[in-house]
Amino acid sequence: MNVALPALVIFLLVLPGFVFRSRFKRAERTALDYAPFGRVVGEAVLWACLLHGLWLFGSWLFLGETLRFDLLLGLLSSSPATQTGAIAGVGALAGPVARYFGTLLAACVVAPMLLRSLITWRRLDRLGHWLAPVARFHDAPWYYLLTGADFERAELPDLIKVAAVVDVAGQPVLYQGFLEDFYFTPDGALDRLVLQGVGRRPLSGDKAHDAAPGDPAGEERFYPVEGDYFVLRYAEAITLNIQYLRLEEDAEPAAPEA
Amino acid sequence: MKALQSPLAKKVLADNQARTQLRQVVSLAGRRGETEAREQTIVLREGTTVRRLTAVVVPKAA
Repeated sequence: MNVALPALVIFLLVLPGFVFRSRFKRAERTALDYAPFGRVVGEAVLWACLLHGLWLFGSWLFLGETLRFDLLLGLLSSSPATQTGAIAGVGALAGPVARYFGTLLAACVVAPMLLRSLITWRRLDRLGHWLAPVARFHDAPWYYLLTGADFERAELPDLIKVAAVVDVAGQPVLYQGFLEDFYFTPDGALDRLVLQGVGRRPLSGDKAHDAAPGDPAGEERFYPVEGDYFVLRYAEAITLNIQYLRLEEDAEPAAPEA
Repeated sequence: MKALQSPLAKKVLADNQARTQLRQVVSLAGRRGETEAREQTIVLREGTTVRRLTAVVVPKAA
């Protein structure tokens, strides 16, 4: 059996970059990565270069080992004799080579999770942060919109009000509630919103109510929807309005109930 | 994925009366074009303590 050894070596060299990239990025799709091929490969190769540089520096610093360019180039060579010599050389260094790639791949699985947690915890990816151009997860727009990740911690709202117009039997109906959860389809589109405290009203009734503004009875036009949770399918929403709310406690002390 | 919801908001939404008041406050404020509804408070009962809250619209992060 013929094995394209140079291709195998290159694959092994860039594999850490692909693993790191796939573990690091926060994307809202789970089935397929539709990112352009060039971007995926470019990012992976860049990560691979950075990681190899870091690992080689660590190997030199802590173990006194250096990269054997002669062996690497020998493995990539098209000359069978050179390749055979390089394979023998790598075989003699099987332990260090296995340790190098083993620790590198293990780090590529664990380190992205830690890095992502650090970015999220310190809010390094929020809009306006100087690190955002590097740290921001560009494939997760709904995440930033619906989790408040773009706010500074001190300015974080308490909850999100969602208002959506839904076509019900040909009539536009406005649903309004407070967002609890949201889910994505496998390809990353918003699938459904889970709301609490939902009220609804048909928009066709607006004109009659507008005739008597200021009437408190007329102003509460939403019919409460009974139930704990209301699931709104995003595909059925004609428009979606998002509003951030903060709950502020009255300054005057509240008296305990008798 | 969990949406933005503070512990205080969770308490308000878990309390039937407070949740209804929050819904009314927000819909009335929206109808009047206000960004806050100072005249109408949300009463949250926690054991023997009563907390009075107002809902304020927060501008989006810049």
